Amino acid sequence: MGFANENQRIVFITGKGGVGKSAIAAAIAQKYALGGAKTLLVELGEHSYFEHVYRRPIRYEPTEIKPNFYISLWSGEPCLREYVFHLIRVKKIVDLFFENKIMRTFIRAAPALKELAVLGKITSGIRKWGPPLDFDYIVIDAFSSGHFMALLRAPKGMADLIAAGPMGEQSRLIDEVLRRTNLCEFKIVTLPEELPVSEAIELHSELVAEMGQSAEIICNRVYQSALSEGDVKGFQANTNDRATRDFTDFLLRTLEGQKTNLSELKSAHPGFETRPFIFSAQGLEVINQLQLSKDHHAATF
Amino acid sequence: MQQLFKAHKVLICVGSGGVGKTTLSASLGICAAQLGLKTLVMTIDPSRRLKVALGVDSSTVKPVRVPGQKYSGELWACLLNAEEIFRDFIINSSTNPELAQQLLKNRLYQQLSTTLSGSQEFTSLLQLTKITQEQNYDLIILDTPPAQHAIDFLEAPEKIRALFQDRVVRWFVGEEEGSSFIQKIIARSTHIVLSALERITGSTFMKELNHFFATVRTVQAKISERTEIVQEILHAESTGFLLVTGFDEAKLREAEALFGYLDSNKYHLRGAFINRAFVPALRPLPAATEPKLVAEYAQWATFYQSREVFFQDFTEKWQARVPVVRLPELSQDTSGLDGLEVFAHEMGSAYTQQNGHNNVSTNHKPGAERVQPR
Repeated sequence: MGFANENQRIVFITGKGGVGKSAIAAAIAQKYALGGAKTLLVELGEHSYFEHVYRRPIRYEPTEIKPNFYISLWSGEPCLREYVFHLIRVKKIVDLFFENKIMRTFIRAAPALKELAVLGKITSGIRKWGPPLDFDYIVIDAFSSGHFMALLRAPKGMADLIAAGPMGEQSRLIDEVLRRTNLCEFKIVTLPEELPVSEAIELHSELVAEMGQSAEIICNRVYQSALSEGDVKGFQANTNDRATRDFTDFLLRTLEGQKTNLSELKSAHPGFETRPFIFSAQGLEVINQLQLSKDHHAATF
Repeated sequence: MQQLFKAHKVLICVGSGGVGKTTLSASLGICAAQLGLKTLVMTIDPSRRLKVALGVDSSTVKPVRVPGQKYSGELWACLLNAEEIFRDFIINSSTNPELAQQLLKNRLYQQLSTTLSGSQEFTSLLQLTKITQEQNYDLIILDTPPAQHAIDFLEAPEKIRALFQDRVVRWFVGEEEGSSFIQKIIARSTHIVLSALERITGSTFMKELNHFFATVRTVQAKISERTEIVQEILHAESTGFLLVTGFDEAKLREAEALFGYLDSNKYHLRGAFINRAFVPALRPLPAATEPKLVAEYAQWATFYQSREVFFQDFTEKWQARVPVVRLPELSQDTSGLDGLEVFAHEMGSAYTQQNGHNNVSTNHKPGAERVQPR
């Protein structure tokens, strides 16, 4: 089946908590924008992280950060409100609906309602449903692994639950967009550490099995030393100083641990990409450096 | 740490995802067991290696004694399985077994018991109350689910309780109507709102919803009762919250928001752990060192030093209230019980040091030498 606008592309960025999803998502979005594509970077949830990074207020409606580059913060309630308004079209009833105390309690706790509304918003440009979403790329700084899969399962769950009616219909269409390889792509961010690597591999197979979607794996914070292991071992052999021994030990352990985890990742996904460890504590500087960094293919390791 | 352990029956580790809560919970358990306490660590979704170290697997919902331990106390561990706990709870607390079975089969309930709606948070607290009441342990350490925001964890029970409360149920099954003027107005607006809900969801959904609320009644009483006990336990003097945070600007900002939240909601915050805060191996190299190695050192040292700024702000703000403990980045993997013991040891000494520092409240000024904090 064809959708109204198949020129838009949705890019989901996920991975274990703490691997640098947001920075990678922003770097990717900045790169698209620089290449001339009109790009919207989307944060999910109630609080904006990028507000602190770019020092601009980030809201539901897109904020222009630089040419072609916009950021939005989409949380459940405004997405749901927009959805309800689009169906009901009478502002007074919509207000009544959201002001009703019991309905508020229900919406707060009701399973999958808000998640569906968020996914509905994300896919609304492609489906040309609701207010126009005029972008070439929608880059989603998505939830971490477990919550992300739960989010993706919501439309199918709802479509199975209510076959008939508007919500069932919407859920079915959202689910279909999510499964289309020409419309949605997935990137899993990981680190050269044991837990993030195993979680990335697991998440990848879940995506394939449940959504029929493959994902690119990006290993972030790969330490690229100017010194080889041999160099470091040489320095270590030639010193009696405690500090030097400890530091060279630290370098060797870091390099070895990294090698082990990268080869673990490589045996499951030979084609993964890497991004360098950025020696900066400033969010924006990390993003800008990541944007400039070359995609090092796994083969270099 | 002995003081901390002795003063509490429950310690809850909170913090956002990826900061090392689970490892820290397990290490706290080891410290407590080493100090002679019978300790239970309740974990959620640990890594494969941590499971092996603790001797638990997905089928062990009941606490198991961690194998290979030589402590003066005892270390026990269990895994929290949200779906199973929720189901057991419904079956055991229902006033009508038949309705309970119907509720379990309701498709809205099935959606409710997935991770999306906070059921993991809710059930881990259900389990906590159950185990606390059984009084089998000197200390229980609770690891919390990997939420986007740690605050979700504390708000989930109330969210779920609200959904099950009588007023909501009566409203949805249409028992709110009466004959007074006010009641009629309320009934009218209820009607508008409900038909709006039907328009956006469809009649099948409404039927399922109605069935859900009709069957929910069977567990209603127990849910409110349990949520009250949960709140009692969470606010008890003997329940302490430990904040675990990562070491970057965003994580620390989140941690601060959480601090404020815990404070204003009268939870007892007893400490903050900043994980991976420093590398013990980074100490100034002698002057005669090979320039290439010096350059490499400078890169790492400057990096950790620049992060110090955020840490100093955070510490200065909170250390008068609770110990703020920095934990080292350990480059060897903390695998097996031995590996965890190494981490537990680091944590124990960092805590003791910081707690002492806290009590005498000396104020260190940030400086270049602070890259190596000892």
